[in-house]
Amino acid sequence: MKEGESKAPELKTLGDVVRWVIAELGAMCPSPERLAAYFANPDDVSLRDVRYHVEEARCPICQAERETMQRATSD
Amino acid sequence: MTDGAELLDVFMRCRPALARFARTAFPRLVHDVDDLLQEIWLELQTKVPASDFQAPRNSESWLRMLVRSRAIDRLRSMERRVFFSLTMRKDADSEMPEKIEPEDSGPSPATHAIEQERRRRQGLLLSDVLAEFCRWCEKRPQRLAIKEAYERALHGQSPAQIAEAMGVPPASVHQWLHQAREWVRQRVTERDVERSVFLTLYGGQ
Repeated sequence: MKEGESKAPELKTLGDVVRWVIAELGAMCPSPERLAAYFANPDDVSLRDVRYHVEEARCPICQAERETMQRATSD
Repeated sequence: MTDGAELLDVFMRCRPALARFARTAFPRLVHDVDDLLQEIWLELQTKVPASDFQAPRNSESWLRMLVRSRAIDRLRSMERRVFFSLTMRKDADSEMPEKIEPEDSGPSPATHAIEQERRRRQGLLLSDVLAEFCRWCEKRPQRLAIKEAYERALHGQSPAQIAEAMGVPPASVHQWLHQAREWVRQRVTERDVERSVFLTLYGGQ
């Protein structure tokens, strides 16, 4: 078993399962097109669900995407 | 619009940034990132020469999406391997016990393994259903509030908190959550013949 696999999360409750599928498997992530649209125009009211997902729920996958995009833009 | 050869150049140029993105977004794949990117590179080399290949308008963004998609595929594959290693058989999906009650004095190792197996199975199923739910919501603008309300509920917010945060009447939130849960329940029921996810997901509500 690889090292990464040994870090599989302990899933004791359904809450653990939900957190796992949202944070690690991106189950509630918006479509790539809507995420890109939000990054381009964060004030768009039609993207407020994306705003919640990224800013309040702090999806690690989408936040990493933004960091990478911002870094690419600043390079 | 870039052509295929240019896309391969962009991939090589962006590879360090793509690796950084994969490591940040998917910490569990930190040791697999090089393999992941190599697989994507091979995939691109197969896809790009194809006559029907449509080069993306924004290559860097497209490549990040590809990395994201393949990373999630890999994580799910890892979870399936863990699942199969716990079950020791590949047909376990059809033979799961309906409900497992933990023992009061603490679970035995076998009970713990079975419980982990069940939770992973729930997770894989739930992940599929929730992703499908999001795409369903995104098809109609009026469904986006349902998605937001449901995600807030999944993160533990009460209907009153959701109503306040979204600036809508509580009745609307109750209606949206009912719609969302009913949608998810139907999909879970269709896919989970033993209803182990359904029973846990809705048992406490």
